[in-house]
Order: sequence, then structure tokens, then C-alpha cells
Amino acid sequence: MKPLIPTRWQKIPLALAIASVVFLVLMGGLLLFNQAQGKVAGLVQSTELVRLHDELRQRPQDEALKQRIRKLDLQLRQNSFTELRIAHNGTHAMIFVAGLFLASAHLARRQRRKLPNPLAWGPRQPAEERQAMLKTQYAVAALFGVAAAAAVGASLHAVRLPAPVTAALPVAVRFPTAAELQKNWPAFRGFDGSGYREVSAIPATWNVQSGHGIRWKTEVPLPGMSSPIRWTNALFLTGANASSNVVYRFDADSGTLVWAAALRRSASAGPEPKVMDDTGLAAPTPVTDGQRVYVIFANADVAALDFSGKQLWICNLGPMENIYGHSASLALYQDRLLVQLDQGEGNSKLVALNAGNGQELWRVPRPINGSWASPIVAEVAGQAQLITCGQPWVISYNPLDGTERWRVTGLDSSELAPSPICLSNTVIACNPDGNALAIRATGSGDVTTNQIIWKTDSGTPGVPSPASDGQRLYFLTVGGQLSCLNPATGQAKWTHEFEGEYYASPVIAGNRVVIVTRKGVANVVENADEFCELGKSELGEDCNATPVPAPQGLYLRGGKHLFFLSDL
Amino acid sequence: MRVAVAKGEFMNRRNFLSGGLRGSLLLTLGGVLGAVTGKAKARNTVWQIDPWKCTMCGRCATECVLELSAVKCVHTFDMCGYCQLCTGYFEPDPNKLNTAAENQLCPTGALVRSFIEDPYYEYTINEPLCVGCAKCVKGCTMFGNGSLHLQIRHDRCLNCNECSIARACPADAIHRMPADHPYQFKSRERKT
Repeated sequence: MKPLIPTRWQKIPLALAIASVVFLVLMGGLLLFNQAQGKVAGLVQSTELVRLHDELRQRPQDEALKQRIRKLDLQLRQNSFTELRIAHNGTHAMIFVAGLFLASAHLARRQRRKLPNPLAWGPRQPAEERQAMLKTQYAVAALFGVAAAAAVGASLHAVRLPAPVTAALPVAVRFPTAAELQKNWPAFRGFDGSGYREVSAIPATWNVQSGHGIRWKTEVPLPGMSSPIRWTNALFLTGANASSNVVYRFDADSGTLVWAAALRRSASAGPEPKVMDDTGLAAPTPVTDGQRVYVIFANADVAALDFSGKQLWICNLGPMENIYGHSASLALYQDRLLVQLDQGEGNSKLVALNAGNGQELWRVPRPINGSWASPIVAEVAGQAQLITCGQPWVISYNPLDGTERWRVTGLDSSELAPSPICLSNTVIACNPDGNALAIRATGSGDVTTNQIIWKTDSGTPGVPSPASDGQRLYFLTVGGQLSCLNPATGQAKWTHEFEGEYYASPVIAGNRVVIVTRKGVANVVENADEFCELGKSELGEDCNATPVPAPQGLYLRGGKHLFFLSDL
Repeated sequence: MRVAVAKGEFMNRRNFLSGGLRGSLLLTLGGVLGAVTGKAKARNTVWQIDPWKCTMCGRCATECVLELSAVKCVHTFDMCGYCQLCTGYFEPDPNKLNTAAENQLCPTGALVRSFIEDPYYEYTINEPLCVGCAKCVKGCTMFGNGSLHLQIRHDRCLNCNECSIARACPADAIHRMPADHPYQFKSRERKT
């Protein structure tokens, strides 16, 4: 008979079981801690390493800094791979020790088992015991049967996975009509990029001090070179500083700031790029389809907001390496948001994003050095064309899939800022300090030799884009030479020299043409075959943004304020 | 003609043709049923990344249930430009074009750069070191021709019923593929 009191050797299983439990608790805690650290997150998301890399770009010769990076890099790798080894080996050790615990606990329990007490059973007959045993067997069999039936039933039905969590949002189902686009001013220099509105009651003169001709004036909190866009009574603007990119909506009738939406930065956004003061962090003009407004900033964050200011999506197309800072505005065709990113040789591209959810639809590299011109979308002979300018090519693409339609060489300037315009089937592209080209936009392939209609070197603009109502074409140089040309022949009808420096593009509002200097001096001239100056006024602050003509007047963004100029 | 089929019984042409027709119909019916059953049987599928949808967010490295993610970088060599300044290998604006830690994008040194001939270099992946962080993929896709991309490796993937990376993927780039075609590699033919 076994002794009831365990000997020293028989205490070993109990000691092993206790030791196993202690080990399992400690190792489990360590593994949980490891898991909470995020496995390789410390290695791949080290902000310290990113900061040191940025410092190295500032001080490329700093050998001590290089050593610090190498040391930190090695330390991060060692930490992460040690944690992975601990997790791997620890899991195996836990499985082994759990087995050891079960075996030792079983042994320990057997040795500490008490002798059965027959009196505790009470009086039982053998037949009753047999019946109880049978009931137990039936119950177990029934349980197995139910479990088996449930397993068979479950296997006959396909498992449906829950829908994955995605950032996708409903895609726009309705595109704005041509009439809606013409009625509003949805993009930089209007819906077609021509800078022309047929009917507009803009004043010839105004006075900021007396308020004459000023319907309203509202302060814009953050600076930006971008121009306003308008959709019915909503006026959108962008502004930015080093810490935030902000989209503003103003009421077009009263000038009230309806909302200001600071964008939540894209997770993949890099450090803020270095830009020139003349470009700033919010130079590109937004675009709207009447349901959402789309914006891009100097750090390559592209975002969509609804008209209530809710941010729908954001993505980053950076890093940006444009030497002056990014200034090309966005274009929109149906559900495709088109982004021209000319960042330098070998780093220029055209990207189309799904306007509904920001996912990339296509991307094509461009054989272009850096440029600052905005793309336009034009309908030529029933086909949509996305027309772009950059040294040395004017290239037309199919906005649906990015395939090239035609290209023309001849833009030799390395600082190409004027955007193209398209009149009927003719594209006009400007080469600063060189020729302006009129191109027949119906060819295919390289059409440099056979589709140039005319060239002129008379008053070709350097920064402002051309404007045209189809009858007359206006060029404005940075130095203030305003030329009116015949768009069919390129012959100048008249030329006039104004004083001042001009970055804002001219706009045509009915029978008036408006130009504004960088110091905010505006001239209004008649849109006619003979030069006739109608008025000259001062805004009282800087101005680099292109004016926006509306039926009731003219919206103008100054350095600090947004103005609505109207005689009505 | 009459054929003796058993003692006292003969098969004439009419019986032979009608019997043959019935047999053919039964065979056809059986074939159709077999084909339908075969089609109805669920195909085995596995998880895979669509490299054209992938936005290189880096979550594959941290969201997988495995200690070291089942997602790893793969390289389509016929797309690679064998560049001296590989934007998947080097930090943006690198200090020098060498293998020092301050110049490399890969946090684990899994991308190996080998000299071929001036000015070409070959880039291979040391797979045990790759954690699937997509830093090289992002560099290559943004500024190169996108020959580096991510794939789920089926020698590591547990093929979970609900893939934790798929749930976290912001681009919905992870989807089920037939197990007999478990990979989706990039190629020169552009996909829109």
C-alpha cells in the first residue's frame, strides 16, 4: 500500500508544477509586453532616425552625425530582431512548459489523492448503478451526435467574411453639366482655363478707403497665392503655414467665412518642403465638381472635402522637389482628379486619382523638367484632352487612361509658368522669353513639324497665363506689357505698357479686361480691337492671385483680404 | 440483321438504336451532372496583394498575426532599370551612393546592392531580413518604374479566415486568389 504522506522524491512533481506556473506567467507577461511594443514598429517607424536623416541633409559633411545614425540603426535592428527571437523561442518554451505543467500537476494530484470513502456513496443497489451508467453513456452519445450534426450543418454553409474596413467612400455618380460649369467658376481661370466670363458687372474703378465699388471685404486667416473658385454661393480658398493646410469656404454674397477646415495630414506625408516666398505653401488653386472641393498643397497632400467642410479623403503624392515650390493647380475630368507633378528631370509625372476615394487610377512619367503651369481639360473634336506644358513639350493626354494623344516641342524656357489655353481646336502655349505657339490639337504623335498654326514672340508672358474670349487673345508680361492679338493669326491688334510687376493672370469679364500688379494696382481696359483704358484703382495690399469674374462683380484675393468688387 | 443476345432472344436494329440512344442520354446527363458538381465545388483560395492597388502604407509589417509578417518584397527584374541611384534602395537625397546605414532606405538592410558593370547595379532581396515595411516599394514606385512590390508569401502565410492585414488595408488591396495561381506579380504591361 502507498504511503499517504509523500516522500521527498514524491514532492518533485508538485515543485515542478509550481515552477511551471511561475514560468508561464512570467513568459506570458513578457510576450504580451513584446506584443504591445508592436513587433517591428519601433524599427520601421523610428521618428528619431527620420529626424537624424533630415539633419544629415542639412549637414552632409557631419561625420559624427553619420556615426550616430549608424549606431541608432544598428541598435534598432538588434532590438527588433532580439524581440522577434524572444517571441519565437518564448512561444516554443511556453508550449513545452505547459506540457510539463500538465504532466507534473497530474502526478502531484495522483500522489495527493485521498482514499475513497465508501460511506459517502450511500446505499446503492447494483441495478441502480448499471442504470445510472447507461444514462451517462446515452447522454454522452447524444451530446456527440448533436455536435456532429452541428459540424455537418456548419460545413454545408459557406462562411461569409465580414466586409473589410476600407477608406473607400461612395464614388460621385453625377458629373456637372457643361451649363453648370459655365455658370460657375470651378477651377483656376474658369471651367475651361480661358479666363473668360461672358457676362459680368465689374466696376471700372473702386476705392478701398471710401468703400466705393467694394461690396464686401473679409480677412483671410492664412496666406496663399491660390485663386478663389466659386460654385453657386460657395467661394473656396486655400491658405497654409508651416503647421497647417487649411481650406476656407466663404459665402459669395455676404463674404462671411462659413467654415475653415484644417486638413488632417496624410499618414505618408513627408517633411514640409522648402519653397520660395514667391510661391508659398498654398499656390495651387482648388477645383470643384459641385459636390466636393479638391485641394493640393506644397507638401503634396491632395484632399477632398464636401461642401460642409468634412474631409472625405487625403493622400500624399510627395515628396516634392520642385525648386520654387509646387504651383500647378488641379484639373478634373468626370471622376478623375488630375495632378500634374513636374518636379525635375526624371521626377515629373501625371497622376489621376479617383475623385470619390482618392485611390490612384493611373500614373504616367513625363519627359519634362520642372514646370509651374497648370493643366487644362478641353473637348476637341468630341474627344477630351488633358493639355499640359513643361520644358520642352506641350503634351496632350487622354484624361481617362493617361495615353498620349499628341506632343509638340519648342518650350525652351527652364522656368515655364504660363498655363495653356484651348480655343476651339487650337491650343496656345507660351514659352517665356521666347515664342508663343498656336497648335492644331487634332493630330497624333509628334506634330511639331505639321500642326503649328502660328508663332509669335510679341509680348509672350513669363508668369501670367493668357486669356481669350475666342475673338481676342491677351498676353500680359511680368513687366506689364499687355498685348491684344488675333487668335487666328497671332497678329497683334494693340499693345500697351503698364507699370508694375504682374504675376496674376488677366481675366476677361464681358467687355472688360482686368489686370492686377503684385502691389495690388488694378487696371481695367476695354475688351476691344482698340486700346481703351477704363479705370485704375488700388487694392491697398499685395495681390498675386488671379481675379474671378462673377455675374454680379469681381472676386479678388489680396495678401490679407478677400474682396468682392461690384457696382450693383 | 438480328443478333442473338440470349437463348431464345434476338435484338433487332430498332432495339439496338433505341438502347444506344438511351445509353448516350444517360452518359450525357451523368457528364453534365459531374461537370456542374465539379463547378459547384468551392475552389481553394488564398490571400494576396494586388500590387497595382497597394498604397505602400507600411501596415503589412505591423498588422500580420505572425511575429515576422508573411508579406515580403519581391522584385520583377525585367522591369528594373538596374539604376546606380535606386530610389528604392537609397534615402531621398542620399549623402553618398554607398551602403552606409545613413544612405539606405531599408530599415533592416534586406535590399542587397551588387555591382554589375558601370553604371549598373543589381538589387536583390535578403528574404529572412525583409519585414514587409514597403519603404523600398514606395521609393521605387514613386520615383522609379515600380519593379519592387509586396506579395504575401505562402510559405509563411497561415491563410487565416479573416486576414488581419486585409482588415487594416486602407486601399482594399488584399483579396482572395485561386490557390493554383497564388501570386500577382507586376509586369511591364501597364494595368489601368
